[in-house]
Amino acid sequence: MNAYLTFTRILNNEIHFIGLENPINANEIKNQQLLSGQPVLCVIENKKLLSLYLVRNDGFINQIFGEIDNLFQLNTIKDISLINLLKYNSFKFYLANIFQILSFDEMNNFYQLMTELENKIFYNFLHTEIIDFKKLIIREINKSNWTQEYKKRFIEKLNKTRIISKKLLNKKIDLDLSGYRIYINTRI
Amino acid sequence: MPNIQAIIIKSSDTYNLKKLISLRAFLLEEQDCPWTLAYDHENINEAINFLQNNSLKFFLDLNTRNLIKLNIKPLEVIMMPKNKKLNYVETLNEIINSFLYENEFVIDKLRSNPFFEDTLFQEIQTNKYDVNLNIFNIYNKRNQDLKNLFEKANFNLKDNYNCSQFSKELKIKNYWKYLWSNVEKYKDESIINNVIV
Repeated sequence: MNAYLTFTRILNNEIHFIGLENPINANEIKNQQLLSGQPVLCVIENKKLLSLYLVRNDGFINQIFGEIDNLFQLNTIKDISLINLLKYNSFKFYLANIFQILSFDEMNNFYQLMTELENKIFYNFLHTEIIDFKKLIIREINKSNWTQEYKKRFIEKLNKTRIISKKLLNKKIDLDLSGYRIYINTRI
Repeated sequence: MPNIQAIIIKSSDTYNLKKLISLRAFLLEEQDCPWTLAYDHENINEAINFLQNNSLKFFLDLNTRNLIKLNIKPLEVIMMPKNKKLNYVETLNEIINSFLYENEFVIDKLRSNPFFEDTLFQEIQTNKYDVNLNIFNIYNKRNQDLKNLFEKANFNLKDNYNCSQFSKELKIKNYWKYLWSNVEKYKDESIINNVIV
């Protein structure tokens, strides 16, 4: 039994875990809220997914699959998110910035469109080699269902957005493992 | 990466108390939260006025200076995984509490981050702090604004798993800083009363 920290890749409710062979029971996970590019902890044994935990933006973990909390039986979590970390943090930074041009009302009304754009970007690019993040985001904005006015505003905001510290883009995924006796192994 | 555990143990004395408090602030991502020790002021009203009269930058600079005195670079703490940070906080809490004795640690967490608990107002409400009516009214008003903001944003922390939610979280934080982080907001109650969320 092994625990892994990685990212989801979702299309039409079909879930994959980047860097892992797909578990034979992956189709048992029916959670409409899942999007591509979400950090998750998955516990796998004999190619079967035993438990799945979503990682909240503040590091809190929430088990959404499996009857038993298997993290109590393990000593280590293998962090295989590192290879995609820079890409994850970069996309998260840019997306969070461009969405902030929206008012709270717009965020509430267009939440579906926001998550669709987010899902597309992470699905298409998180596992690939990337040089120009902004170019790829602009391409996805132009292909999205947002109106021309919003597309223009997003692209303008994106072009003005600058990363303050590149070091911060290498910040590991926050995990609040309070209560568990488990540590994270990043040397995979 | 410095050995933080060793630094904490080595600095475990009353002389370094404020430096350890600053380290804890960085570990809890509260590095710009206003804080003070009540014994440094004549009474609790003075202590709260001190928090109100200084900007968030003042406290960020104070904590940064204290961290550097401990030979720790702020970015190194910021980059540290949360799990590691929380382990150090446990150790620090024990040490800091043992050195505070009767001294009151006064902190206003909500001013810099709307997702933090308003522990200061909680203490005021439970009459632990005997404050004047003006101070009570300011924090009462601030709490009402916070409720209005979260209602308006329709945000629930327990759903905060993706970038779309994260962007909303950042927007709430920025909006809150615009509303209640400035020193002027606390100085002139008439301005506060005119704030529309």
